[in-house]
Amino acid sequence: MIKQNASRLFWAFLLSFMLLLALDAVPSQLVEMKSRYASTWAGGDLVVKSPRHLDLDLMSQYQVSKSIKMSSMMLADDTAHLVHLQFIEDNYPLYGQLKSSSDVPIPQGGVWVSERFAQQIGLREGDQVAIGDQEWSVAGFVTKQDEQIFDFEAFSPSVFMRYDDQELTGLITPTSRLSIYTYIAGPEVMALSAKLEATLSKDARIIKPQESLGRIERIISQVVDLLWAVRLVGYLMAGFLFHLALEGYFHYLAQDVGTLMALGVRKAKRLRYITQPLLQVNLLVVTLGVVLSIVSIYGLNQALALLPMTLTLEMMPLVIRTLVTYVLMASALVFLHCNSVLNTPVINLMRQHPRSINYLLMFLVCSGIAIYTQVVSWDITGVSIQILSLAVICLFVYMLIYGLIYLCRYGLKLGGTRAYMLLNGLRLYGYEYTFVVMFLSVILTLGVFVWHAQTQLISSWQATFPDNASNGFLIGVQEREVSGLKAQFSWLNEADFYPIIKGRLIDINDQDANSYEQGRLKDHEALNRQLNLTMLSYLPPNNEIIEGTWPSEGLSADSGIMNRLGLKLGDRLTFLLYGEEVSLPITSVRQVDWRSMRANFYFIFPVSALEQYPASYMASAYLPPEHRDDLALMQQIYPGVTYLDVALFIEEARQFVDYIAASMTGMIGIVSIFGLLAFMMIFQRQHQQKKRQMKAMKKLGLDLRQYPVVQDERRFLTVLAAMLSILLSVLIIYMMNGLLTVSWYFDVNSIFVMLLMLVTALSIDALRARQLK
Amino acid sequence: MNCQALQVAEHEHLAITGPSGSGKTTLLNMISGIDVPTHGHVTVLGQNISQLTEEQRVAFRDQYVGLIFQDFCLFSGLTALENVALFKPDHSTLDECYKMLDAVGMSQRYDVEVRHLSGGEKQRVGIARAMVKKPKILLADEPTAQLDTKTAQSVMDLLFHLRQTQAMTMVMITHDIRVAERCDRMVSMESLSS
Repeated sequence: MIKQNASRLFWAFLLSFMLLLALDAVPSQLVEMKSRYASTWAGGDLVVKSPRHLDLDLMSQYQVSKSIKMSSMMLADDTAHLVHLQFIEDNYPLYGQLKSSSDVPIPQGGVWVSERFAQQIGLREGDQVAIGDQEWSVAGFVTKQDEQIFDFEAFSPSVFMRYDDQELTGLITPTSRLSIYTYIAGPEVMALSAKLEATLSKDARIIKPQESLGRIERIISQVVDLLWAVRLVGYLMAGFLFHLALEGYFHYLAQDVGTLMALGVRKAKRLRYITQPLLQVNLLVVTLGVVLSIVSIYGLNQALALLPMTLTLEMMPLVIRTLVTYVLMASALVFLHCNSVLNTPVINLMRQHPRSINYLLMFLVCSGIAIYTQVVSWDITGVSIQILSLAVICLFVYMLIYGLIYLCRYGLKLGGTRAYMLLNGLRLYGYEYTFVVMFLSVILTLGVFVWHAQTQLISSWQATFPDNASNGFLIGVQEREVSGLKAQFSWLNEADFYPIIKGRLIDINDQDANSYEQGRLKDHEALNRQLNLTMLSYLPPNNEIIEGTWPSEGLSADSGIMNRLGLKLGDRLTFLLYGEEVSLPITSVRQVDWRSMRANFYFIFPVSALEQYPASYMASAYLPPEHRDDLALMQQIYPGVTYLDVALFIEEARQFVDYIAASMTGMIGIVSIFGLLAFMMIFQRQHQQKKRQMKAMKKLGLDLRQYPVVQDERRFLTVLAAMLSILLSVLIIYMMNGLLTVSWYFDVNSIFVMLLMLVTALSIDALRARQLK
Repeated sequence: MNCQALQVAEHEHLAITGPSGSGKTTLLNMISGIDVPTHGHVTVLGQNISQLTEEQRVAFRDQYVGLIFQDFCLFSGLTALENVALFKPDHSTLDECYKMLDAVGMSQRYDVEVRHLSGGEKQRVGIARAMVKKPKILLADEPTAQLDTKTAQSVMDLLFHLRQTQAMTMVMITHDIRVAERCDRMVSMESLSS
């Protein structure tokens, strides 16, 4: 018996081990990589982002590198492209890599272009491109840049130039929308950080990579959160696989243990008899699992080396964590099973009625293990709430499925012989089937949800745009250029050009904005960047005053940002503009239609408050496809003007959603495979019983082709799981539409994806079922 | 099952007969302590085993009782020798297992996994396993039920031969009247419950 079951146990345990590794790899590594590569991705131990150049005297003992980043247009082969321009010094970056096809630094008058972008537009080394007032020679292609992960919001391809060449471009003006980055490396940078905080103006931002990576860190946390539900289901699935294998093992073992007890074998010896093979199998699994993990991680690291940024999985912590999780899970479940068999009366064991392990207990054990692995880098309250939520959902789904099976039993009684056969199977294994259907339907629902998010998140947002919505923005326009642009380009005739002054919100009611107590979101991005501020005497379209008076000598604020920052009418806000503080009370609240895709503003100042500051102009416009060539002409005449194509942003956003969806789909895929394995394992366990049933049926003269009982059960359960997941998906989409005011609809295509998976599972299973005949 | 008083003397060989479902196996389980009565008590070797805990009853069987089952209850992945050795008393050696297998006519089949043995051979291993402990009481539940007539005869001959060599009390369930007649006494379940 042990020999027969050992290989089944081995494979189930090994698969559980590998599932644990896969589940742990992505989320934990995302979090760990963040701290491991913080300096590499940021390009220094400390980074200062400011609108002005810093006084470098304070940093004389440190390694320092400077860079200027801005959006601009590049003219290549008579086509204008939006690019993310970066002027860098020779020692950039202080940490991490900037690899190019060229062995030497960027030459004077030369540029490096991102390799992918160059391939897209067919650029070759030595080609000439126009940026700003001059033409530049392509001197190399960038193949790897670590800082791009930090710069992920730059939705345009990167172009690198020498720091000294900035003046020659003519793009750097007092009103240019640019950021100056100062990278600092060296020992005890935190002491320097304290000094800088005391001396720098409030519109400078000090980035301490080891403490916070800002927005990218929040995104990583959100991705980890999104993966959490999948991960928890995965942990339960690993536990379920493990449990099924053990239950199968103990099911056959029960009679042996009963015989041992009947023949007077003491508890210690019985325990040894039960656990010895388990220990041997587990030892083998752990050894092989560790070897396979090392090989897998090594292979994955080789693949990650091909990415355009430095990213590796750290081997030992990952392997150790998986090992600890596996050992804990295995010990807990083996203990529960052993305890169950050892405490069953001998008479029950001999009748093959071992007390079955409680499924709820198994759920709690697996959840406990999941909590353990999470609290290492997470807060226990958050995890507990999520586990509780998942438990409630599972309980709901469980009751629903069990109820359905219960109802089906009565429905089936009305059917013929075939229905009775199905009824027999459902009655015998109702409890196990319920769990399998529950896992399958939950994981399928998650899959369907991700499918919808991937396909509808962006398109449902786009669908809300009005028909005449703008498809681009002009920025960096000088006052003198406005009339010329309107006259030369017909599609700009009707466009409104708004004056833009960059400024940072520093105080709310004379209190530091970042520590303002009323704020719902303390680290709201509006507090961490230069805002586009405008001064107007008229109310722009798509804006409606809902409170206060307009026009007035005070500020007009968007109701959304007021809500997020905890502001109210009458609050006094202080902004830093060109190194000067401007303070005004909020005198009106505006409802802004952000979906209009027009130039909209969080804060509108009265003209009198800002007219003394230099301003550039910004406009939104609809560029008809037949006028796209105008962009090249515009770049030649107005090299300082940048056209931001909305389609480009949408495409980048779509790619970003795709990346996240792909990582989730990957995780769901892994968990689904294991779910199906668990599904088949249950049927495998019933193989002998089914064989006897078939034998009896043959003896009774029933034609097995007419009564494919085994397949009937599987078909019924898979269809039930699929129907339930569709039901849950529709429910979730309905709730999403209600809660988030999006307009998602249930995509019928998702059913085909789901069915494909189920049909594959059933086909494999049908082959196995043939052996029964 | 409602069983009135039944006494078995030391070294007596008792056969129990009765129709299916009359409680023969339950009675045997009560004697061995595998099962316990809901009312009344079972005293074996002067001990009221109904009052013992499950583990105490296991220890009791270990010390005094040998069991032979109709479906053999052998460990199919183990060899004949291993099946016997698994139950030998701690103080005895492997030689005794060999001797016992020799005694039941399995001298050529020590290292054969029991799943490859015939029914008769399996029961011989079952008898060797029960006897290796030198039990004071041997309980046999229809030991020949799954064997053909000829094999059943040889197994019974073996069992009665061992009776001559080892002093022990034996309680056997059987449907075969000829086997029952070879015992010292025969009782039917009907007579016990009347």
